[in-house]
Amino acid sequence: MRRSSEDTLETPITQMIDIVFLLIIFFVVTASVDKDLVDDTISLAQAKNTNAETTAKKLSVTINMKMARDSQGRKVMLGGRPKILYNIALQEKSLDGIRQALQTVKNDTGNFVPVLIRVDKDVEYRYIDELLAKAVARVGFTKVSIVAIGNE
Amino acid sequence: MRVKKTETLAVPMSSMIDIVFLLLIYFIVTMEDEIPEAHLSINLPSPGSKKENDSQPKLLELQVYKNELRLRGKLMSYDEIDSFFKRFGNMDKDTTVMVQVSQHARAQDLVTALDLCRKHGFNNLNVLSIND
Repeated sequence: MRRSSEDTLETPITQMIDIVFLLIIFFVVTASVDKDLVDDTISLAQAKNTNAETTAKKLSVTINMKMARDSQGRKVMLGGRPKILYNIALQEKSLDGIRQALQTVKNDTGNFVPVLIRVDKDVEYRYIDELLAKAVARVGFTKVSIVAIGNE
Repeated sequence: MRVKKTETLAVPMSSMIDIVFLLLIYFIVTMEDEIPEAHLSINLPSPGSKKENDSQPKLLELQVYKNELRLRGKLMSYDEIDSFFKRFGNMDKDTTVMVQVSQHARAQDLVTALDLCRKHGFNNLNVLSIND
């Protein structure tokens, strides 16, 4: 049967929607993977006078630090002190594991990389000091920043 | 049956709008507000020995305890330190601020002190711990 000239001019909308869907699924999946690397469970301290960073640092190490809490929100104690949880990119690590990870970064790129510490606002300074002394400064990192909620 | 010209060229707008609305609802529901993060830089104590020919830098000592701040050991309110820094900051922005932090101070106390220093343009912040 001979096809009419009107049929050949039709836009292939079905295939186009197929491709658009594939692209959307790809971007949704990759975007959620990227977002998951930020530990949203940390309640950051407030810095009302400091402006928020507008551009993400290209190369940095972010250490997340918070107190372990049970299902009722109470602090988990371990050996008479609150249990502190550390993670880098949501990979839970011990203090020694953090030191080893920083050592690897230092070996690969050097110690000029800024270290960002995202710490829960209720964590006592002695635990931050412990992290700085036993991991960050011990490996040789000197550029350290405490992350807080700033002005937009 | 021969298809009319007007029908063959019509884009299925209603179904496309359905899909667009579904996508819009999905993104609105899953969207989360991004927290505006500020980075408060600090200097760690240098492990190297002190150089002999170093000139004495201008220093300000700020002590941070749990829920309280002290300037050169004197207990002061946030506003008092704020106004002191305002006067001092007008004279010299290169002053090194030694932020001495109590072991029992919380992260929020440290951030409050660092934020106050940043507010007045002090960027040379050294953080030390007080063994109390």
